[in-house]
Amino acid sequence: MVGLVLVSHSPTLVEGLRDIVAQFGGDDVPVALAGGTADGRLGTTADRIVAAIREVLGPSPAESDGAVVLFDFGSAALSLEIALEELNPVERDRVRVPEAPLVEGAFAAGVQASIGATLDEVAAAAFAANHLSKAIGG
Amino acid sequence: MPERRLVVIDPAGLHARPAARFVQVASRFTSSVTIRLGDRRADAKSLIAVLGLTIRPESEIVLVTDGPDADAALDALTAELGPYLATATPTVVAEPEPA
Repeated sequence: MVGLVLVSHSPTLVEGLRDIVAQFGGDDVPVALAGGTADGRLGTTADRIVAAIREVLGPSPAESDGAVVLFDFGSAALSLEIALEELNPVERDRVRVPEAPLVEGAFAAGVQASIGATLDEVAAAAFAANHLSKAIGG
Repeated sequence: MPERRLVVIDPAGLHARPAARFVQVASRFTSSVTIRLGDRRADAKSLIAVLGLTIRPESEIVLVTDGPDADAALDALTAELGPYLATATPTVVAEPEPA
């Protein structure tokens, strides 16, 4: 099953988001977190992102169903770029970074992953979450 | 193509939780599953499409399935979405009062 890597400046934010993915998508969807810095501050680090990606890909990345990475904003994008460069080509091939909102993207991708969708399908579901309307009473 | 008319009984409408359940159940079948709401329709195997319908409480929706396991898909969806959906009461034409 495709897994999710949730990246945020705040570790508690992605912990809560993991609960949402588990409840809506199911406990089977692999989720790894990269939130906050090693010294407990708000922020993102490439090391934590690399570790989270490898946690989802498992010991045999070539046979993994893959990982979709979702992140919040700002320096998370920079940390993620550095992290992606640290991956070997086999690992990088199994990772997708869709242009997607973190919360809605994780919700949509989690549900899509839970039905056994492919890596590209899960990434597409996260991207499609850009179009979820927030309109109230419309 | 088998179809079933259902009414959304959940007071919050067909919100995130049932929409996710909808997609998960529909995806177990090879048949296509379409939700019709008025003249709009959505692929029930797409979470974003289902949420995009913005199905409100007391709305009447029509589930349409097409494929080799179409009837089983309808039965499963009706059963597993039980807490959120009820079978729509067919409109009864009033019988004339006996003279």
